Amino acid sequence: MTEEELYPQLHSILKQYFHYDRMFILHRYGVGLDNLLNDLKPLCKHSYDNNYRFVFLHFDTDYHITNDQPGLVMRNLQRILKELDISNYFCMVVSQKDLQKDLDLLRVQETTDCCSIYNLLYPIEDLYHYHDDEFDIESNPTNVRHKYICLNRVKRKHRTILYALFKAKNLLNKGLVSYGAKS
Amino acid sequence: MNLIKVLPDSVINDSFLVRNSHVLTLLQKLDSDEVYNNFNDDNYVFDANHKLHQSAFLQVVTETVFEYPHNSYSEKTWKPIVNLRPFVLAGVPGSLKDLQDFGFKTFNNWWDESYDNVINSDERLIAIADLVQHITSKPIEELQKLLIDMGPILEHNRNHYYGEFKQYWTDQIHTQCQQNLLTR
Repeated sequence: MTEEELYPQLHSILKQYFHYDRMFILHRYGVGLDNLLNDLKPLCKHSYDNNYRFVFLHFDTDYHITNDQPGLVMRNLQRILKELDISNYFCMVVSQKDLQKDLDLLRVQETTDCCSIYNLLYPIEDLYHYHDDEFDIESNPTNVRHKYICLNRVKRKHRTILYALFKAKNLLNKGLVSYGAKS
Repeated sequence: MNLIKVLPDSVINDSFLVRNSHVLTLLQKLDSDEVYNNFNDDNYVFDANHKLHQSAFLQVVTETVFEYPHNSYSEKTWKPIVNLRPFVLAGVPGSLKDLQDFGFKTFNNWWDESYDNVINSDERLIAIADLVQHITSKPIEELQKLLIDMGPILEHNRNHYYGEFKQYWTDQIHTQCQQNLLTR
């Protein structure tokens, strides 16, 4: 699926304001953003229309060395843009969390650009995955047969600890629990 | 150009230092290859899956990030809301507070939600496990009655999610796009 097909609502809003060739889903490029530079290169021009944008979608988590520094994906993005001589003026990162402070810091740390990459805050992406016809369901208390549900298909440190605590407290058989089925 | 390739141990995400001796002991006992599944969890991640999620009283949401500089809500947090179920949220400190600031209501009338304020990661997880133990000590019939009692809150959250919350952010996106064009 293309980025526009995956995010039709976002696309329909952005295209009312901006011209862009495509949206770049950053997590597809890995942390080091391998190949992003190659994908951006053919789109580089000497000049752009005022409303032209490079649109980057960053809905996944980033990787932080410390709490007070921007994530590595954002840092790599800024470095690639600088390498290609694409002004931050024409760049926009769409994310579910507010990254503007990080992007401002990256401008200072990594570039001499006069403006930062713009962060478009879009925390409602997941809203569109649940269809409107699902809206009218009722609470159905009598459907409750289990005391709780806890889904942990992908192992992460906090999920491992919580699973270990549940196990020690003999809580696993009181609910529906998954842990680590997907690497 | 120097691009950074991540070494897993060099990032703070998901690698917080466990200090609590009880938690350390439990982790040492756990096989690193351990997998557990007492139901069919082969569902599409963005499927609201009413049948599955409404079969349980409480959703213990383990968000993608727990030790992280930014709060982050994924589809996991919205699932109990669209399924009219209460939840305990294992996320970054202040996750419940942020949800309340967004206009959602949480469950402090029924149980202690102070876990949301515990900064230390392993202590926060212990508080969450203790709370889940407390809630699940009640019989199913009592939990079903609780669900009826919570009805107005659960419906508020579901309606808010599909209504004002969605509209507010849709408006915000238009505003941000306009600002971007104006200020650049």
